[in-house]
Amino acid sequence: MQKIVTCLIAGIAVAGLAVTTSRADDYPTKPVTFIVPFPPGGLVDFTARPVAAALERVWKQPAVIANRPGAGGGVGIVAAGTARPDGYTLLFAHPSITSVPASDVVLGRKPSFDREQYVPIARFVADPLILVVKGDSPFKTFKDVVDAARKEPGSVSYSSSGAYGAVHLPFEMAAHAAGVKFKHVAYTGGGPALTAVLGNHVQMTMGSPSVLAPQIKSGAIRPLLNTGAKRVALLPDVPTVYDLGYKDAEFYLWVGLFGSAKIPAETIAKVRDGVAKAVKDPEFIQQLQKMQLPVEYQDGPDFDKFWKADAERIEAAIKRIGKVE
Amino acid sequence: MSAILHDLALGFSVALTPSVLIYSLVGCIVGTLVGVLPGLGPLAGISLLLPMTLGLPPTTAIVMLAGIYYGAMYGGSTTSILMRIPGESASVVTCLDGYEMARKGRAGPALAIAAIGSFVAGTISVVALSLVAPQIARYALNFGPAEYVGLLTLALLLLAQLGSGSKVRSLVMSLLGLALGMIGIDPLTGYARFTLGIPALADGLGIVPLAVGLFGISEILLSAGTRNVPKVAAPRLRDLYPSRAELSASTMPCLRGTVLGFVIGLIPGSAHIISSFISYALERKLSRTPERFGKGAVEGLAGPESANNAAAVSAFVPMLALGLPAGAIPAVMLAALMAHGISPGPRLIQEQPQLYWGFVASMYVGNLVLLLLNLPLVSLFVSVLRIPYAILYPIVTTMCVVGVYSISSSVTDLWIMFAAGIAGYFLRRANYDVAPVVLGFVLAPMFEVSLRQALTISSGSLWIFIERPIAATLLGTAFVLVLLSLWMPISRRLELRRTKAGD
Amino acid sequence: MLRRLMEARAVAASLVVVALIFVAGSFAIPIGTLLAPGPGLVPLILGCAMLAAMAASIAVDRLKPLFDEETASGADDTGGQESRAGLPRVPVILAVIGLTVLGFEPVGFVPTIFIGSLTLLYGLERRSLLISLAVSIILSVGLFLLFERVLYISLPRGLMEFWP
Repeated sequence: MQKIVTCLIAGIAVAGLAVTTSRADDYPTKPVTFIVPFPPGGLVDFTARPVAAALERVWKQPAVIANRPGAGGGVGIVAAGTARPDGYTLLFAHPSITSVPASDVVLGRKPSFDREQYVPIARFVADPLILVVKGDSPFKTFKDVVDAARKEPGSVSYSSSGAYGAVHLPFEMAAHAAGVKFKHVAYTGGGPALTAVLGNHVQMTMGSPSVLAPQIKSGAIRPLLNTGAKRVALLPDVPTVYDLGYKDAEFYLWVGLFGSAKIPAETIAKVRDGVAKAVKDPEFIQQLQKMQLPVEYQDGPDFDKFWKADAERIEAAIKRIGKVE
Repeated sequence: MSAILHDLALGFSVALTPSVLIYSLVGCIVGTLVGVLPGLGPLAGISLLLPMTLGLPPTTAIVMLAGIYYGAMYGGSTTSILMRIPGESASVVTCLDGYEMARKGRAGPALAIAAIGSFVAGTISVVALSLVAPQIARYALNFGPAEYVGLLTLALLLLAQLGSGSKVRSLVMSLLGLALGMIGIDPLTGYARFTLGIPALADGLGIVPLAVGLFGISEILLSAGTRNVPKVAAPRLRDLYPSRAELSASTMPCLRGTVLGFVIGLIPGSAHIISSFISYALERKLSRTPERFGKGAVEGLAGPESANNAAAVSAFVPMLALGLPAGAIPAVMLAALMAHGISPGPRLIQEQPQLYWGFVASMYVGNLVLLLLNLPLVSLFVSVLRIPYAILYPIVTTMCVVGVYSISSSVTDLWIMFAAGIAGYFLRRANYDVAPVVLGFVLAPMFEVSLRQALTISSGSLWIFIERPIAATLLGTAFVLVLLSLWMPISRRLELRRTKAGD
Repeated sequence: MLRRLMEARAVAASLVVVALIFVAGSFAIPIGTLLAPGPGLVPLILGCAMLAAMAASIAVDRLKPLFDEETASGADDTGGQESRAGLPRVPVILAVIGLTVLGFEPVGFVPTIFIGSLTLLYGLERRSLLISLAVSIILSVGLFLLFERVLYISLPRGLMEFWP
C-alpha cells in the first residue's frame, strides 16, 4: 500500500516537472485557459466562447474556458491574478473589474484585488445600456423623467441588478449629470429588474439593446435613453447621452481580455497578435452577429486608454454613491 | 380550442422529427446522468451543459436543454431517496420520507412513485401551460415584493412544522438556517456580511454544498459510526414497484401537489423552490397520522415530488409567454436562445411558432421518455443498495466531492460541504433535525430582500402590505394561522377542564 | 452515556456561540430602523431570536431529561465504530475528506481521489486489493474522463498537467 502510494506520487511529480518548462518565443505550446469569472450563459461567457474558438483555430492549440463565478467576478479575477504568469491563464472581464475593488474601498473593505494588477489585451464588445420605462408610462422622453424627478426628488424609481452593478452605476451617472435624484430599488439580477418594471413595481430600468429589443418592439416597454456615444443599429431612434448633453453619463457594458501584469511583455504581444487575427475570423464575426452583439474590437493600447477613461467615470460614480443607505 | 390543437399538432410535428427526438432523448439521458450525481441539480446541470448545445439548431438546442432539465429533475430524486443527498433545495424534502422508505426496504416503490408523480404532475402542468400560458403570465407579474413578503411569511410559519421531534429544536434549527442565509454580500447595499474577508463567501454559503454536507456527508459519518451499518434491505423483485395501497395513498397528494406547484411556479422569481416543502407541510396537516411523516410516509414523498415538477413546468410560463427571464433556470434557457440569435420577447409565439410549440410538445414527449427511462432504471438504481456499504460509501463520498466542486469550480464550496458535514453529524447525534436548516437557508435571503424592496418602494410605509389585495390576503392568512396555533392549546385545555368538570 | 451528554452540551454551547456571533457581527454593519432596514437588521433579529430559542430549548431539556434511550439516533454507538482494520471510522473518513479537499487543486483530481478512495477501501475497510484498486481507478480516472470528455466540465489537473 505504502509502496504504491509513494511510487504514484513520485511518478506524478516527475512527469509534472518535465512538462512545465516552456519558452515565450514559441507561445503557445500547450492549452491556454481563459477564466470567465461568471457562470455559463451570460454576456461575458457568450463573448468569450467564440473568441476562444477562433484563437484555437489561429494557435492550433486548445483554448479552454473555465467558468469561475463568485463575488461579482471577484473570485475569477483573483484566480487569474494568482495563476502562474506564463500567459497560459488569461481573463475575460467586464466593468466589474473596476467596480468591485472601488466599491470595496467605499464600504471600508480591503479590496481583494487591484485593477493595476491586470494588463488589457483587447476589447471585443462594448454595448451601451438602454433606459426603459413601461409601455404605458406617462414618461415619453428622458426629459419628462428628469422634470418629474426635479419636481419631487425621489418620486421616480428604478430597479437595478444589484448595488454597484451595471445598472445602478449608469443610473447614478445619469442622475448626477441631470442634477436629479432617483429612488433606487435593488433586485438580484437584470431579469428580475426588468420584471419589476413590467409588473409596475418600479418605473425604470436599463438593459442591453439585444436583450430589450424584442420587448421594445412589442410595445411592452419604451426606450428613452442610450448611455453610449453613438446610436445603436437595433434601436436607431433612441437618443444618446451625447445627444442630450449628458456626456458624463457615458457607460458601456464591454467585454475585454486581460492578463496578469506579471506576464512578460513578449508573451502579451504574442497574445495580441493572435487576437488580432482571431477577430477577423469569419466564423467569429458571424457568431457575434447572431447574438446581435456588434464587434467593437480595440487592441491593447487603445483599449487601455478606453478602459482608463471608463474606470475614472465608474470610480467617480461609486465615490458619489458612497455607502448605499 | 381547435386553434390550440392545431398549434399543438405543429408542435408535435417538430418534436417528433427524428433529429429533435434523438436530441430530446440524449438530453434526458445526460440530464439523468448529471442529476444522479450527488449535488448536481437541474440548475447546475443545464448551466454547465449549456455550452454543449451551442452548436445545434435553436429548436433542437432548446429541446435538448429542456430534456437535460427534466432528466436532472428526475435523477435528483434518485440520490435523495437512495443516499439522502439532495441535488438542489427542492429535493431536500424528498430526502425526508423518500430515504426513510428506502431504509425500510421500499426504495423501489419510492423511486417509482417519485417518477410516476413527476410524470403526472409534469403532464398535467404542460396541458395547463399550453391552454392558459399567455393569459396568466401577465397577471402573475403583479406579484411583487409586497406579495412575496406575504407568501414567505406563510412559508416561514410552516418551517417549524417540518422537523420531526422537538418543536423548540426545530425552531432553533430554522433560525440557524435563516441566519446562515444572511452570509454573503447584501445584494441591496453591497455590504459583506459575516464573510470573514473570504471573497469566495461573497455569494453566500451556497445551497448545494450546505445541503450535501448536512444531509449526505453527515449520513455517511453517522452510518459509519454506528455498530450496525444500515441494513437497507436488499429488495426482492416483487418489492420493486409500489403496492396498490401505496399507489392509492399517493393519488390525492400527487394531485394536490400538482395544483399547488403549478400556481406557485407561475410567480416570477424563485418562488418555485418553496413549492415542494409547502406541499409537504400541507400533506402533513391534512394527514390523519402526521406522526408518520419523516418516518417513511408515502404521502410525504408523492406530494412534494409532484409539486416540484409542476412548479418546474409553470416556471417556464413567464419565459414562454412574455420572454422574461423570471427565474434562474428560464434565464439560462433564454440565454441559450439569445446565443442562437433568437431574442425571445412577448411575440415569441407569433414570431417563432415552431420553436414555441415545439418546445411545449417536447415537454410532453420528455415527460413520457423519462417515465419510460426511469421505471426500468428503478431496479438498476435499487441494486446499487446491494453493494456492500463499505464499498458504497467511499463511492458516494467521491461523488459528493465531484458534484459540489463542479458547480462553480470552487474549493471553498468543498470546505463548506466538509464543515457542514461535521456540523450535521454532531447536530444529528444531539437530536437536532437538520432539514429546517436547509429550508430556512433558502427562505432567508428571499424574505429579507423582498421585505426591504417593499419598504424601499413604499418609502418606509407599511400601507403597501394592506393596500395590495394579494399581499393583504396572504398576510391575513398568516395572521389567522398564528392566532389558531395560539388558540389551539388553550381551547384544548379548556375542553379538558370541561370534560373533567363533567366527570 | 456521559460522553453523549457532554457532547450534547458542547453542541448546545456552540449553537449559542453561533447565535452570539450573528448578534455581535450585525453591529459591524448598518442596522437601520424597522421601517428602513439596513443590512444588519435581519441578522440581528435572527441572532436574538436564536438566543431566545436556545434558552427555551435548554430550559425544556432541564425539565425533561436530554436523552430517552430510544429517541437518540444511534444511541448504542460509542462515537466511532472501529472498522475491519481496527481504526475508528469517523475520524479516518473525516481526515480522508479533509486531505482530499486540501490536495484537490494543487495535486489534482485523479491522484487525490485515487489515493483517498484507496485509503478508505483498502486501508480502512480491508477490502481485497483488487477490488480496492478497481474501484479507485474507476472513480478517479473514470469520473475525470466522464466530466471532461462527455460533460465538458474540467476538473483540476494539478500535477497532471501533461494529461492530454
